[in-house]
Amino acid sequence: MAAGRSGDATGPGAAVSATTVRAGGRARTVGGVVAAADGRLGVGQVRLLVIMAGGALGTLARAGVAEALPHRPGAWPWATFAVNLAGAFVLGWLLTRLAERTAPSRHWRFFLGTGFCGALTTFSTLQVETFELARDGHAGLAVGYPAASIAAGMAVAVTGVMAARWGRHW
Amino acid sequence: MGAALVGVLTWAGVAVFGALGAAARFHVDSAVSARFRGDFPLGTLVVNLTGTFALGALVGGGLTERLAFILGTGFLGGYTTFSTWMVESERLGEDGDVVGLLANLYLAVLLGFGAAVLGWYAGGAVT
Repeated sequence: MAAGRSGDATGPGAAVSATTVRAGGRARTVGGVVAAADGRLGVGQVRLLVIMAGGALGTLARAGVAEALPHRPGAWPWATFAVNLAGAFVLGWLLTRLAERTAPSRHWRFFLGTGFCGALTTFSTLQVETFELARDGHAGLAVGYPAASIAAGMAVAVTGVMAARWGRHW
Repeated sequence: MGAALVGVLTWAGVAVFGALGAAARFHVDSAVSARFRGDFPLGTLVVNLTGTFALGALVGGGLTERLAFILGTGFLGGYTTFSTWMVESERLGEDGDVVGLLANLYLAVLLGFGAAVLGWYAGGAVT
């Protein structure tokens, strides 16, 4: 995500200042992540662990759906379609909710957003499924599947954003 | 090994590689965003295109089903993202950047198709 835009901060911008505060100005770099000098986990390291935990859960959820709804060649890829729309809705809601209203914790964005929703949804599978549909001669599906994914994905993302602004008690 | 143990290890592998994929996405997105100060979400595009090429190569290369599950569904599933792509597009639209919105949606999907095709043939050529 581009740094400094409203409602997103998976980029490096926010991490630097927060880490410097946490480490009391005495910071060292470990594997590209700034760690506190006193040996405790720095904000950057905790953030990475939180992303990985959410990423593991999101990937497992997606793999479970993919196993439960196997994709037959030449058929609409329902599993990918479903997880992508679910994740786009939740992320639209989450990022707006956290950016524009009181955030319960700075970790939620990285656990649920960057980690879980990011891993639950997939761009690569959508594209490879589209390629396979095209290769096998299903021209209508090869155009309709990505087009519907984009149209419906934008619709649910916008709905999620609006839900976060309308909701007052959740 | 028993079939049950293989199953458990396979799903554990999916979880571990999914976590690594998500971490890799965060690092690549951060690195690209740090070098590109525009409003266009280039980091996500780079992540998604490289991941699509890699998945095309895995599938085109004819990986065994279990390895494809761990590396493709696990690592590359954790690495690439649809939700961030959609929400970043929504932000571009909210900011009134119609050109950016359309480019982010349709350039990405066309380049992604190209990346899948290239990856598929690259994977097939190697194996």
